[in-house]
Amino acid sequence: MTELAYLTVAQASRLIRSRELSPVALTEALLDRIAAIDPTYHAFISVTPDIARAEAKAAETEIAGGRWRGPMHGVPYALKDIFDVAGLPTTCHSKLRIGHRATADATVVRRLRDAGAVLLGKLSLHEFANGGPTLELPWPAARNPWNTDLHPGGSSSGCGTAAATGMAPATLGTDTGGSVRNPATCCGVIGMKPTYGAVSRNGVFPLAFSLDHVGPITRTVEDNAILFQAIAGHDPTDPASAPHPHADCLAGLRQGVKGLKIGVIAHFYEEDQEPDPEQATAITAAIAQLAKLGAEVKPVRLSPLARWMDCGRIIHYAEAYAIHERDLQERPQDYAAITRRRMLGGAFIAASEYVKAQQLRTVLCEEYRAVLRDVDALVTLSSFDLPCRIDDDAAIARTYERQCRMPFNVAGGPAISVPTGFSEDGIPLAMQIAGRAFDEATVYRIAHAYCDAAGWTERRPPVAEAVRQPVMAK
Amino acid sequence: MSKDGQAENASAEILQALVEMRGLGRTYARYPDIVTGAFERGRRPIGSFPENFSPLTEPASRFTARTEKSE
Repeated sequence: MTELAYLTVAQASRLIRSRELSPVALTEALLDRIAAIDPTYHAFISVTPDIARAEAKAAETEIAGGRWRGPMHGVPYALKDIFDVAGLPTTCHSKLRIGHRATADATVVRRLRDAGAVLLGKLSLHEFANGGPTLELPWPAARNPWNTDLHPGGSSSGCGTAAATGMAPATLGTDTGGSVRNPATCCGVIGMKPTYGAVSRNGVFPLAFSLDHVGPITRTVEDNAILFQAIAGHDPTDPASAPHPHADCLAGLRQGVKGLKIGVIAHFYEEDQEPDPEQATAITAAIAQLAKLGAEVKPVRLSPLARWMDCGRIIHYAEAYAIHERDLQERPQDYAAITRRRMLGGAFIAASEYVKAQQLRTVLCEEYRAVLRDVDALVTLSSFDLPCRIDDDAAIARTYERQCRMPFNVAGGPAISVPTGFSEDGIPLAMQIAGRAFDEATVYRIAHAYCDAAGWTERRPPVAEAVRQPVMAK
Repeated sequence: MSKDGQAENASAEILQALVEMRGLGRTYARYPDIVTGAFERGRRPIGSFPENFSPLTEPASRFTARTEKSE
């Protein structure tokens, strides 16, 4: 079971295509694994065995008949429970959504169905992708695979946990201020926030429309690129969807970094905020590794991190409040306290401040484009700290400010989180690689070269030993 | 009354007015600390602007991530 559980998308796809592996057998193995270990990790809000078995069987029959749809055909995946799947509830991990049932598939779900992928279920998140882990919600919070007492990152918590523990090789999350990259960072896997407009958000419950992105979380860079390829592309039902086709991210994946210029935004973590020493040491070693692989590495400067964070915070708060205003007025008790606290900030943002934030965004986006005229990609830290305890509310509140992810939501360019090692206590460390708008191919290429050389994605969490009493299971 | 005291009173009055204006009376009555905290966070302004920032800058009101090619 473990061997099948840790097959990558690329490996499973090759075996399925050559009919050495049955999608039905793979799906059954993963359903068994979810049943065995998810009571410890709480990655899933709902498992969809009937859908999974039907889709796996259909894939097997079709492939046996000589029709192979592509690299996701017969490959299992899971979704953050914020994506609509026709006939299923989209809970957003919230009491407010109990009784909801989606009438249509989100565009990305439809694309994965068309690609022949197999839906295993829907994954845990922070309430409405904006709260935090708490006991107040109808479903438990996902756990960190490397230590179940720790926060797995969020808001796409279940995605990081399910991918790292071998419950799902491919997962889809959303990212408004780092919600794909944070769980990837905390769980030691790969999380990509693509370019704004590269992946449709139709059928995805919004948090802040001008910062929201859909992105894959997987165990390898290649798998991430495969999933991105399957979901990207123009969708007229999302007003922000870019009208042009995206570049092939798989063709150049193994070209290495020789000759590429990589700018390091070191001031974010050397001047603007102080990182945990283990995070700092790991990113320094990772940058040295990129140079050793042949990249030309040089420092670059953007506006101070606080300016990016202020801009993102105001846009985020204001746009999120616009969606939740009525419920926060009429049924605030149905939100968890941590969500209420975060959402209500938007009620008090002055219109003038929102306008200034959007004007500032224009300037920051130009700054971002300008720096990427001189280099092919950027590298910086993801989180300043290691994951905190899941029951430490004050430490969790700090995680929203102590990160370098929001600048890429503000600028809209692609940014990926990749592991840079492990702390002395065996907890994952990570950095981000970011790029020009719609140049996911270069970001994936650098991430693949680094991960291939560093080997951190090979390490597995101690799943068998993790079955113990979690700190919040009161 | 000290200057600090006056500022606190003014802030409390602004909070009350905004709570009413936003239809959050019931929420405030039930969760005064959370609403007060949200008020403080929500009123926190942008700390600094770049030198080339101008009040005439076009806001990114319909945000698109442009590419160099499209410029």
